Amino acid sequence: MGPILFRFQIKNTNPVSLMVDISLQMGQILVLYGPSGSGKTSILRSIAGLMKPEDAILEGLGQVWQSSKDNVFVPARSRPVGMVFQDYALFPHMPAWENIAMGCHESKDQAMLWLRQFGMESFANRLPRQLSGGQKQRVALLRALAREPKLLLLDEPFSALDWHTRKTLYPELLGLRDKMGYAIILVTHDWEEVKLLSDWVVMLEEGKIYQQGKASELVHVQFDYN
Amino acid sequence: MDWLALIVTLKMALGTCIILLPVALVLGRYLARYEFFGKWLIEVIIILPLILPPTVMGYYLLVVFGSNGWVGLLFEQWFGISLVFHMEGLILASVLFNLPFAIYPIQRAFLAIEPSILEAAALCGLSQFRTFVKIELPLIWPGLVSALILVFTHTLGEFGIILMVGGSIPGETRTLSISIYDKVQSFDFAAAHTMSLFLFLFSTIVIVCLGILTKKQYGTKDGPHLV
Repeated sequence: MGPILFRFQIKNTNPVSLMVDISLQMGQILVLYGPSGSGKTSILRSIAGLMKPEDAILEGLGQVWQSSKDNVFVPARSRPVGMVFQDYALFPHMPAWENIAMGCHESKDQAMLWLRQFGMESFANRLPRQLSGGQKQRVALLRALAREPKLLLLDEPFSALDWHTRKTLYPELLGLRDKMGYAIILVTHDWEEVKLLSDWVVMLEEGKIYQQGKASELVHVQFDYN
Repeated sequence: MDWLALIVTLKMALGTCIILLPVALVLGRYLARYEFFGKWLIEVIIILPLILPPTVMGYYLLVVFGSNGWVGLLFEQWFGISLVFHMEGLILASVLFNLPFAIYPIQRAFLAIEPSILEAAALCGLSQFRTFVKIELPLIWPGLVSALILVFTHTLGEFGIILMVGGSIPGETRTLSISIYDKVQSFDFAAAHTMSLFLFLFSTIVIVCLGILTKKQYGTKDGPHLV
């Protein structure tokens, strides 16, 4: 693990209450774990630049992404961040290769290269509605990776998938981290996922850090999701 | 068959579509994307032609388009065009009358795009313009086609507002609907029947063709959503 390269201090009251201070290193998988409404997705959206918290200092790789004090706000399209949405948010009118190409300056060659790396070449011309859940998830991940981000944000990317598909995707994610050295923030409310994937866990409740540490050191709290 | 009236009708319908669709695209997107002070007032103004009787709207347009009306004066001074009883006036009246038919399908199509799709586009690094061209425009295509069908076919059958603003000048403002009315007034039912049947068939064929085009484009069974 390298030095701390990302630091996100976020305070917000409306529409969601947040008060967190999170640090991250390159090559680290940080998992945000907590019940629905605990602010996991809002933290991710703030880091990505899709939401502007009232008071925040967001820094990554020596650059300020947001500083409320200095009135700095780098828009989402200019942050070195890739994100996989919970519903994948694939462009429904574009085949898989074109979805991925949107992340790499609309280059078909680059997109095909990404598909080849993940053994998905044969799905290149399929529209999102012609793909299975696991295939959609991979295309969404490749689209995020195609931008060559430094930080990868994953918003419950496995929640819609069955256990068998998940089991094939977990090693892929870990392999990706090891090979590319991305910093990854993963949102989940599945403790099994936390144990399997996390280097560091931040447990959230009502927008605040409840406890943090390695998964093996934390007291597991079973949250009520209803 | 009154061929002159057909040419006038087609000129008016095409002119209305060409002017109205870009306006509706901008306005529909703005209304779908942004909240601003006075938005409700703009929405009320847009919906007015649906509620007002065409003759009432036609009367007020006649007043403002006339030589003493502010719009009429503006056009005469700036472009040397007299609106009342001329094609330009017909097209402008038709554009205003068709505002809701063009804007609402487009506004609804923009609203139907999931916000996460646009957020994903931003995170792909796409500019607002590229997002509009590559993502939004292809996704609102069925709404755009619906707007085009509604405006075109609605313009073909316009009567009250056209009669008020344009009168019935052959080759200039007498459209097919007005010609049908004139033929009925003079008991020439055969001619009225021919033109009515033509309008009926033409409108139906246009709707079917555009519906097929939309299906081919998207491979859906839905076709264009008409309202």
